[in-house]
Amino acid sequence: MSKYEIIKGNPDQFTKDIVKRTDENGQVWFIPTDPANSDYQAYLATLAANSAPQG
Amino acid sequence: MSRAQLTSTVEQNTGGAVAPWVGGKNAAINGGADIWQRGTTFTNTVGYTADRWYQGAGNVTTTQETTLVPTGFRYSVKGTTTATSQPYWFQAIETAESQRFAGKTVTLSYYAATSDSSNVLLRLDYSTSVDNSAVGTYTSIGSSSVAATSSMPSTPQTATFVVPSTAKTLRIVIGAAGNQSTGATTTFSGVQLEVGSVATPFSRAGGTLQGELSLCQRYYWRLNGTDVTGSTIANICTGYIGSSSAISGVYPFPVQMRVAPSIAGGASTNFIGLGGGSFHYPSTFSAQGVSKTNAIISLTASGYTAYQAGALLMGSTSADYLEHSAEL
Repeated sequence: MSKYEIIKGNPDQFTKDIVKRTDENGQVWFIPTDPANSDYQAYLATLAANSAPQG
Repeated sequence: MSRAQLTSTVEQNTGGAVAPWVGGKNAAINGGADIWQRGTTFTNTVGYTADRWYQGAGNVTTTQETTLVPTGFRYSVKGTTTATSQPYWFQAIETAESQRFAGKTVTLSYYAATSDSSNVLLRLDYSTSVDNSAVGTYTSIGSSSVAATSSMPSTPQTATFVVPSTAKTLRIVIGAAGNQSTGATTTFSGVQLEVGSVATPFSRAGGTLQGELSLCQRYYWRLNGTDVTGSTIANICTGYIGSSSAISGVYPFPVQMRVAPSIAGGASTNFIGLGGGSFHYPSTFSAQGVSKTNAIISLTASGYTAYQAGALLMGSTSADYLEHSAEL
């Protein structure tokens, strides 16, 4: 399963937050917080699933 | 419609006197399997293979095929089962392109062969969501199981569908119509989705080879270390050294992408920073400030002298690459 972390943006360098995803094979992806990016959509879906109340 | 227009249309449909290669007619990008930016062998891979074609079944190895191809084509996509499985590939078509098909009769066609002479699949799905993810939820518009042999046919297998007027995203699904035993193959090329009830001669979606590459790069592109000649180090871009521990650089993309892409180096990419006349490695890669047209990347290592110019580089092996994905 991929692991996610948020890399905070630096206002002094005009950068915004970006999502870092580390895949099982060790590959690291940097995912912009663009709602139209399907990887970001998948991150949000994972976040929602993990925060859903457990039955 | 004038007689001349009618004649032209008929001749295009029959491949007659008027050249039938029309850019934009075909909504299936890389239907001719020309573009393989991610590589040409995908061992037991569920994911993207040839550009824009996502293989969805487990126990399938996808490779580039150069022998079993339709007449007039250079490449096919071949899936070989490594255990009993149903190889299938799909391609989601973004809303800006899918919407011209809404409410219309469309024809899906391709040339396909199966080593066990089992049938092949032609299926078209739709979603009412804008730019639905390729692996998202879809509703089937229709599905056909069509005969195939171990030889590539001279005319394509075809199926016709009526697209609901509410469709926002279409998804083509092709491949084997059922499970194949271990070692069986399904091979295809010349995929076309077009308006109308008749399959017309194949045209690349992008019209030309370069047009097709550019279309593919709207969704994915890769900078390969192996593309360099005359050096064992590949250039990424020039950079500025903002501190003693990092060099950053801005580089443009070859085309504007569909959305701001996700960016990754290969799991074993050897990134190298050049500053003060010295190479700095091992370097840790990161990306920031990503837009549809460019990005900032940084390499972190020790020993830089701040406020100098430098360069961001990588090795030149097949493990060295930088990839960008804006797929649906």
